[in-house]
Amino acid sequence: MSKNSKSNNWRRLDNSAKIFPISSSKKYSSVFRLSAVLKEKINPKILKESVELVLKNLNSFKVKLKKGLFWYYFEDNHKKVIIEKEKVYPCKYIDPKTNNDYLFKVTYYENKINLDIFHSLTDGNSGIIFLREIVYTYIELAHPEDFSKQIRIQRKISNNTEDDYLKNYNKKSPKAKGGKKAYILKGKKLPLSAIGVIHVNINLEQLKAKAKEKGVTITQFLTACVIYAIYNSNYKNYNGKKPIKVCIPVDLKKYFKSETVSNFFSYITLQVNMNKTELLSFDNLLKFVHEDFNKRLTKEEISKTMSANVKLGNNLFIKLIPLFLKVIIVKLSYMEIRKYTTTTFSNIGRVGIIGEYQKYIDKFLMLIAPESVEKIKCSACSFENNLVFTATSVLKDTAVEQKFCEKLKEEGIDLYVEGNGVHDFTVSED
Amino acid sequence: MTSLYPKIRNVKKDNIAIKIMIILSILVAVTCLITNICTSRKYMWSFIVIIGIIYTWVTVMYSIHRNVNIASSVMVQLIAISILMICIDNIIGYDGWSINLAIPIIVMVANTTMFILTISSFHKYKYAIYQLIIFVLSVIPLGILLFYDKIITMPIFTIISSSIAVFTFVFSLILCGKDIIEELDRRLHT
Repeated sequence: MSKNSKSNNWRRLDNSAKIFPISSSKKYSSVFRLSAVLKEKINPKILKESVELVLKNLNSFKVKLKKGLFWYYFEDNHKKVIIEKEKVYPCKYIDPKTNNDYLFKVTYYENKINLDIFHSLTDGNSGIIFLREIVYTYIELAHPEDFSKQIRIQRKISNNTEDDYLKNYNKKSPKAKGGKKAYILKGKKLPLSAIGVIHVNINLEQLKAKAKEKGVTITQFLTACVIYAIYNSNYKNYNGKKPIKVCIPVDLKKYFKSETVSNFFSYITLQVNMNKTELLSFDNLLKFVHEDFNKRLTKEEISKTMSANVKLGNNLFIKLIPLFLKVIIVKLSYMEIRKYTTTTFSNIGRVGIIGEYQKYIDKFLMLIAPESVEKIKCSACSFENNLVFTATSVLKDTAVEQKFCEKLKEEGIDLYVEGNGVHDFTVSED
Repeated sequence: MTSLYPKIRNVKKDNIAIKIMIILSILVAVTCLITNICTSRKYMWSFIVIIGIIYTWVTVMYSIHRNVNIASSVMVQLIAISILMICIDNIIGYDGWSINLAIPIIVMVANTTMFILTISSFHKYKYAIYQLIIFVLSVIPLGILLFYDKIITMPIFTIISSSIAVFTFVFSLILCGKDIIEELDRRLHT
């Protein structure tokens, strides 16, 4: 397909990407944000030049979304990219009409470069490649004296847009088991479609040491903290009955050989039945999370979920449903599907930066759009000795975030908190 | 230390002009309907006003969408004006002018527009899917003429308009056949 698509300047959406334009709306944006905070104020002219230069190499992002009779597809976008000062809440719906048809939006504020990406275009791991290129190019243009041509040309980036789901799925894989409905976070919502952002800057060395001491990974430790926080600050107060379910996106490039810059992720869902009293202590909860992760994070299990999704997208009957009907059916079914997750926690890990560029960068941030059912979404990424755990929320109160920070402090991990000013948030010193 | 986020003001952007126009449209429609019912029910002229308002809104809403392919506007107008004409014809006591005369004229105008668009942009043709839909819609009256002989009483205009539609379509196929096939490949991929 790719050969044909390239000559025609259009390409099919990958298997994951297909669902986002069908299920998304202003309310459910399917947008995630990656930000880079530099140690200097952003110059918008240099930023625009950087993005234009990067798009010349990474032209798989230089596309617009078009409607076909059965599916959406990408077509080359020849319009100029728009760079603006940040003026709305993060992860908001990207309206192609006001964005020259682009499916990503680059904004800046003070020292920060934001890249909001519609999930159809790519996933977090490939998104970070895009942001990293923008940051590298920006630094090179802003400090030409420090970057010789030799340094500049040494970076190689893949522009492969192959649908690696189709290459790697198992046609004979058994059906993945469906689970129970999840506990939905309760509480009053913020007015005027506001999104509250809380960044918890965590000392990575201490976090690593603590996770090692407990015999778990950083993602497992943070996941347990999230569940613990939800239980103690929301579930208990509202007498929750259903299990707390946390969706963890998984980078499939760790399990299958792939160079694609399109989506290539799957997910596992942790299901914790909090009515079991033994899970109420943090250490037992952590042990459960660790074991459940190990059980679900195997190539076979991941392949099962991935294959089930690919088979669904490849089903001839589904393929032949006209797009307008698909939109109605998917939107109706998503009203139900969304009730199967309490929250999502996505950890894209360490953002690797070439040595010469590190001194210009303060940190990286990742944010996922919360919505009316999954009211809080969590994400994390790290740079140098700082892991930034971010909670984006549509809830008025910050009890979950508060409890999360308290738990980390209780475990002896240093942290400090930043936010977007929607919530009045402080962490108690004790 | 610099802050990470700006203060957000004016989050909700409501289009007041559109809201006022919607209220005005409803007001005019209801006033006309009530006046019509109170004065005479024999001739429901208020329906013409209501249909006219609906047509205007379809046109306005479609036009304010930026980046809309011009051929898609031709297609929308072909459908909307045809429905408008049939409704008016029926409201004022069906005489058949809408089907015999108005629709063939609309079809002729739509296809002539497509013909001009094809000539002016054949090197970068991007109207294939709309061209196809317009062609199919344009030959519907011919189908009606062939299979239900009592509906169209003055067939000459229908024959002329359908001939123009066939000519425009064949002309586009000859001039931009490859582009049309490529466009259909994109739009119809499964």
